[in-house]
Amino acid sequence: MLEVGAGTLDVPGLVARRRAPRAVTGLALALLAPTLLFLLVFTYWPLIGSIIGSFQRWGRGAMAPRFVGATNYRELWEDALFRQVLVNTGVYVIIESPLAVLFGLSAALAVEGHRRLRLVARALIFHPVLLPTVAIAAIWLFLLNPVSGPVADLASRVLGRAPNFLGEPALALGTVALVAVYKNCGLYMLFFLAGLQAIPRDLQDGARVEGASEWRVFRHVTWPLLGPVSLYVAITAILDALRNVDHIFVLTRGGPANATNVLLYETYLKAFEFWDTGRASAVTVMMVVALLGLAVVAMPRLERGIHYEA
Amino acid sequence: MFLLLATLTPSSEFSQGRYWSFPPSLENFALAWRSATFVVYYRNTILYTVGLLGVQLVTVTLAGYALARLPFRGRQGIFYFVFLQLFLPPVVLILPNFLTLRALGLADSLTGLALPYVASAYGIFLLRQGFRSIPKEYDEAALLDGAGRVRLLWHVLVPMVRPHLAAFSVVSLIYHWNEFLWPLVATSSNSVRVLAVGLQSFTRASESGAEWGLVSAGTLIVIAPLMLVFLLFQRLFIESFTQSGLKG
Repeated sequence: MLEVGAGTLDVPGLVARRRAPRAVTGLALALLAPTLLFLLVFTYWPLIGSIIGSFQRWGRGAMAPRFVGATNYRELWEDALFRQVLVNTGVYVIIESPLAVLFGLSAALAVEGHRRLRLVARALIFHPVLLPTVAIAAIWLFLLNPVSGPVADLASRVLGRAPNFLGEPALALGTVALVAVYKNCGLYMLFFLAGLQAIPRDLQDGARVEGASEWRVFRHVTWPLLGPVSLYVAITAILDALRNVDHIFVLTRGGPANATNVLLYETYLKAFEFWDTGRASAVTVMMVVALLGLAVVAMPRLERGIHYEA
Repeated sequence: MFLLLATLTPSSEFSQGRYWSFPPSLENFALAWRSATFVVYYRNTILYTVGLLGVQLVTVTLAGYALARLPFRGRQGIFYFVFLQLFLPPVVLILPNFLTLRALGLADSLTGLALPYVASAYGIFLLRQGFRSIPKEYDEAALLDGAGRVRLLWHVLVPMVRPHLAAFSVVSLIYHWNEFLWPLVATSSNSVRVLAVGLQSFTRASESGAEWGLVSAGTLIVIAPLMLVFLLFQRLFIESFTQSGLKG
């Protein structure tokens, strides 16, 4: 049961290439029809629609959109604010995903093997996974309030001054990323726990008996065996960082001074605050390119992980 | 915990830097409940999450079975076609999907809200894995007995993948209960808003007045049902989420 990621990619049809009877093919297509239809309309058509839209400019009112070539992309590129959005997105992903994965892994390692501790940790670290990101953001908005919040209170006692974590451009992006770490690391902890439990204990015990330090046991036994899980968690973490920006709506709304504006939030702003469909489509296309890039990098590696496991 | 304290403290005391009061007060709850239309949000969220799950369970079971058990030409291509959706979550496609809904006349409706999620790659893989773990002898025996594949699926196989269906249900319900960005753009009238969106606008409105007690009361109102169910079925929840990582 614990073949993490396995099976996802052991592509069917490679083994048995007997000609299928017509009736079976017909039944298969009938069963798949609703799924394929909705995938076409709500996953694949949007890709094409966005690409077309990104080469167009919408006029006021009922005017039909006209073709403007790569203008949208060029203007976005020339816009310093948008370039900042790209940088922000990169920085955000680079802060958020590794930290969330690392915290998840450390928490899993810390509680693995202690039954009591595991139960407590599950409830404590896991519960943010169940909460809406906007609710988590609302809590942190209160905790981080520069005037009355407990964090500011604590900071001014320890540091002598209370930094405005969400109000200072230099701090805001990191703060927003940390809130996401808090939200996500519990889920990754669960994945790692499952992975750890799949490792036969005698392997680690054997290494210990031979006098290996805990770090060496982890480095040379546990970590290599966790490989496929770690890979899966890392990919999930990057995906999560790119697609969940709900907390930004509550905490900073992209500010201060554009400091916490990331790609998906920018898509929302362009599309639904400024109704600039052309440029919003261009931003969507960039987002999709990033995600497909991730898919292209991830898929063969996931496949290799499986061979390694088998 | 913090939430509870803040909720039970009247805002007058709160602004003076005191984080708790005794006796606790329920005034924030009453205020929050009255100042936002939480009843409507609750109804919409339940309709949306449960209705969508009902449809998903059907599509996911059928597609998962076809991909796990039926040998047909083009299965590999369809497999990748479905698989890629894991990397293209609907939330990224808010703009084109919104335009599609508007063209279909389904913008600002709960039905429209649910449509992009009807096909779920994640659920399909979970169910495919479930069907694959059932020995093929069951299929063969049933088919020999003259049962059609549809009856086989419904009477023999579906009961055996119940744990997978349960895991998928938990993850789907929680995801959509908490969902924010897509409902924010897909709906605009208050009468079809869901809880997370309601909470955000509520937070936005009270934030300026630093009504923290009120905000935490609102937050508690939104998360209470999930937290309650979680406490009751902790095991099921944890296992469901663990499985969600072991898709395959």
